[in-house]
Amino acid sequence: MTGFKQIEVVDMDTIDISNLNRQFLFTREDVGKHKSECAAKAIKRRFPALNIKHYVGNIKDGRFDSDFFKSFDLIYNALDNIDARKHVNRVCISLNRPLIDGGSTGYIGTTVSILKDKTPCYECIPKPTPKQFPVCTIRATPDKMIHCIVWAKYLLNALFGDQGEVNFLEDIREELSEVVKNGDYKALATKVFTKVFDEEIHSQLELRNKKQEYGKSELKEEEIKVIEMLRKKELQPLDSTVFNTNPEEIKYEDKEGNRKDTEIWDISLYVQLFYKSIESILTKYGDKVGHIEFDKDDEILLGFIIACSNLRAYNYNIAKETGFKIKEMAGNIIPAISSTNGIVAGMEVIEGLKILSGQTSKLKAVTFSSKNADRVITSSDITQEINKNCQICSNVKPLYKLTVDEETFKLQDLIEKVLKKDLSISSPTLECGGKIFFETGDDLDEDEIEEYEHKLPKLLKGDLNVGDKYNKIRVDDFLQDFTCDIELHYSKVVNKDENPQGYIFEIVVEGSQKQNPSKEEAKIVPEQDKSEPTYTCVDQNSDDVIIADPADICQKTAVKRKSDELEEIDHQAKRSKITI
Amino acid sequence: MTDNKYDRQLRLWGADGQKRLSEASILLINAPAAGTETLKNLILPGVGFITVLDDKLVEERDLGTNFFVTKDSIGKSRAEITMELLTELNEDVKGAHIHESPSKYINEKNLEFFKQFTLIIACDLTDAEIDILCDIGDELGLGLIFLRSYGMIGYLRLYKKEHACIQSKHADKELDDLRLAEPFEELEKYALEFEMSSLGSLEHGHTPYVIILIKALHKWKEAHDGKMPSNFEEKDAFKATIKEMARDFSKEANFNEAIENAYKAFSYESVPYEIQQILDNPKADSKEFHSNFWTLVSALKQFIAENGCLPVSGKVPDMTATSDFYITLQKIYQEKAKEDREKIKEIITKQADEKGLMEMLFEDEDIKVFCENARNLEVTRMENYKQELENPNTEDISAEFFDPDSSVQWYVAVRCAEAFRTTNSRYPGETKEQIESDVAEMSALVPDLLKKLGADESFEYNYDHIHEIARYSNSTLHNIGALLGGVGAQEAVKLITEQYTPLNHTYIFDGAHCKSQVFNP
Repeated sequence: MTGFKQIEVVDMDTIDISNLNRQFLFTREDVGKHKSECAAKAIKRRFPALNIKHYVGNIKDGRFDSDFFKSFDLIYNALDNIDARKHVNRVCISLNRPLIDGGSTGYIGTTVSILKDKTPCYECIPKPTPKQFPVCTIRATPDKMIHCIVWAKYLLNALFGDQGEVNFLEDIREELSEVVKNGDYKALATKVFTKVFDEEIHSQLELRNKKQEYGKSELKEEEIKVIEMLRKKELQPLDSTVFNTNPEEIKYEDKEGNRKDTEIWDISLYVQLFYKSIESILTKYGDKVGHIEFDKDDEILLGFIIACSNLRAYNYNIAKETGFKIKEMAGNIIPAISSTNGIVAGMEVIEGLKILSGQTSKLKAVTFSSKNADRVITSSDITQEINKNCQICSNVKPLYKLTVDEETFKLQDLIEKVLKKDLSISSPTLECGGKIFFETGDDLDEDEIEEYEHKLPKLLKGDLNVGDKYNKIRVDDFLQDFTCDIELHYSKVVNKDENPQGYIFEIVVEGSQKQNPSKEEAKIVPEQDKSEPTYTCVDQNSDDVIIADPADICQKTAVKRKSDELEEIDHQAKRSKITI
Repeated sequence: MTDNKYDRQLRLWGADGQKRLSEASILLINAPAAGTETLKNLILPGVGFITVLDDKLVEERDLGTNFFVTKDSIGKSRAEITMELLTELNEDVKGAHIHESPSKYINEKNLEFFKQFTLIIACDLTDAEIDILCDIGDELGLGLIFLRSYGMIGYLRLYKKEHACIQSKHADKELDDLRLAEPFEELEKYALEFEMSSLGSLEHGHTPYVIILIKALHKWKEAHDGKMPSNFEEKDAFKATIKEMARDFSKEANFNEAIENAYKAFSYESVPYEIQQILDNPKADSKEFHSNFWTLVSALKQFIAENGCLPVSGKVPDMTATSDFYITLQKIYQEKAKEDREKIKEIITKQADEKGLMEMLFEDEDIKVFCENARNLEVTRMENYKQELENPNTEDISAEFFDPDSSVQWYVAVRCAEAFRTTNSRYPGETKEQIESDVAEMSALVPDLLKKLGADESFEYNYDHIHEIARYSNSTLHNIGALLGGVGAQEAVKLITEQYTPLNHTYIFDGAHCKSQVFNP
């Protein structure tokens, strides 16, 4: 409504029913359709003269290349994850395009303008580390509901998810993969149940007794630790045979067939829900099994998590929780309301107009917080806070040190885990000793694609001989204009228990000068010396912030104004484009 | 919950908040951008009923600022069009429109009409109309939100004579209620009988800090004539005794927690000052029915008279402990909380009998929420609009005049613009030719206003603000309307759900600098 004439919207998501409480461009009939398409259509209805284009896709896709980004005067981020934000930030910094990043959490909203050399970039300020739990707590000695939920999510992955994911329940995956393939849900449910909720608890009880019999000397150090932790716990194994797993009446549902997620149930109902969930997963998601990913808004998968986490809680005498609460914890749900998004959108337009009219010295980092009476919009002058050591917007070329186990580390590990996850790179080109050994991008021909695909599952050292002569890998992402060197070290000491990711990744700045490890680096360097290994248990992709809805941001058209200054802004606005 | 459409907001205000929202009826007086944006933000989350009262017709200029009108609606009733487009957003919300002059309803003080609503949102009203609505609000106990926008400046005024809030949800307030300084019988017994010396190293390091503190305080009091550590030295000495209790202080997190949390015992008041003020309100003793809130407060008062303390909340924060220790401790608090709730319930029934009222209808959940929040009850009282200038509270606002960046300058400009509007029956600067003379007329009002607000004599008002307001006139920008509508809806939800503290009472948003401030003259 401010007068922008050309707007383009990018979004890969489809509309979920839980979006409707804040998205005024979508209706109930739109649920399941693509967000970008519905938003564009709704806007077009209100502003027929507007030139609005939509794309269904990930902003990290190769088709959104530098020419695409260059065609805009202003770019708005309304993203829900750090990875994609880093990507857009890098592209915008490299192309010198202004970026406005916004987000909201409950009553709190924020917007930050990013402009190369004028303001700090998104990566100048380290992002907080996701909460971590020791592997041992999740695997063997949970004492809070959240530990059981995290475990349940790993169990879901081990049974039905992608193999590539790091998972300490690998043994379950191997043992049960055949049963999963058979598709006999009853057999599978009974097997899983007996193994994880009964036998495992029994073996822990035995372990405890074993200590009394043999004394400390004959046990492994790790076993002693577990026993210590277990000693005061009341362990309660669950025998599936005492429960009616196939009841005539489903008591955990109300008359309309909705699961009673706001109530805490008797343990037998969680057993029933467990059996029912496995049945539903196998029958309804047949072809997706093997690639299922947890989605908090998928009722069937959520049911599995609710059942498993409560059953495990019972095993360890931890208080049960309602389905509603478990959904919140498992999905990392952040409250989102329409009013805060409206405020963020309003602030973002103001900041955008400042950029387009060249008033860049006035840019602010604006936070709105109004939970309580005394706290409202606060804006801080950000122009002075550029981080001179930022790897993205300053000229520092970073050097990393990567230590891997030569017998297990594959090219796909390097690409998926180190480059994509740890470094947020989206389309890497890898070079070693002047030879390119891996590329991604739209301009590759089919042979090349096939050749590189073929290389992915190969061992980096044994099969591909990377690092034989030269140990430095040059990593380029032409889209992000990101370059760095990785110094490769092979070692056999990369112990899986201590480094669940299977490698050690550290940052060393160019000239091998050690940089003070910031919070962010602490996240990507797996702990080495501590006896208790830590594990990143929060999904990298989980919503860190829910963002002002694209819909809120794109409603702009010409306005009658009196101020000359504003007219100038209007004039500027007419030739700008927006992407979300 | 049959539908998870509202899932993301239930996380914020809960089923109880949603219920109140779905039962609320909102009146919007006049429907410019700020008003429709506010309603949009209330309709999407599922408010019960909306009514739009507006006698204007949709004009060309509405198209550029108001999302909820369309080109083919030009010349039609703005109340009707906006109501229709707004209610399309959510099938759970019903709406009505009244194409009549709001002034008529306001000036004749039509209580029968205003009585139907939970909350009124009013845009662009004159000072005189706001004064009357404040009176109406007082009589009916209604919440009022007034919105005005002048170009890049947004103005919001909240008014509710008395707003009671049970769940203030302040992040900085202690939500736990551990009674360390004055443990109830069952808790004290458990703590004192808890044998630590025979524990293994794991349990010793996982004994809840609650037990450590109660033991340590008991010992301290025995040695100090039953007195708590009061001054700095004594508190330090007390902390030292905790350190001595540890086997290995550097490794036992629970003993560190005991020291960190010792202040909870030191600063404990059995009835905090703020709560005592609420209890001292005549409504807490009144024989008449005022509201559910005051019925509960009245029961609370008697509970305190009988028990000497507030009901136990039953909430135990996370702490270093074995699961079993923690669960046992939690049970002790929860059982006591339940016992206290039962007592409150009995008192409510008894008081209702005495007052000759029908038995009060409270769900157990209502009483539970009330007891859990008994230490954090809040009653906000606001000055009405007339008093703001007749008898201003200069304490806070006078200090603003020492801050050159304060938005108080805009507050002064807004009040002058509205005073001008009252005298001239039009906004200042409606045509370019008028600007200069209008600025002069408004500027003449400034010194008197500054004096009333307690501005220091050395303060030099920057008359650019007056000039800007005249230049903006009553022009509306959509993004300022969106922002104001966001703030307005947030405050509306706080009033309706009686959760979180509403702002008190004037909010100014300065779009040119993207900042805002709250004033309460």
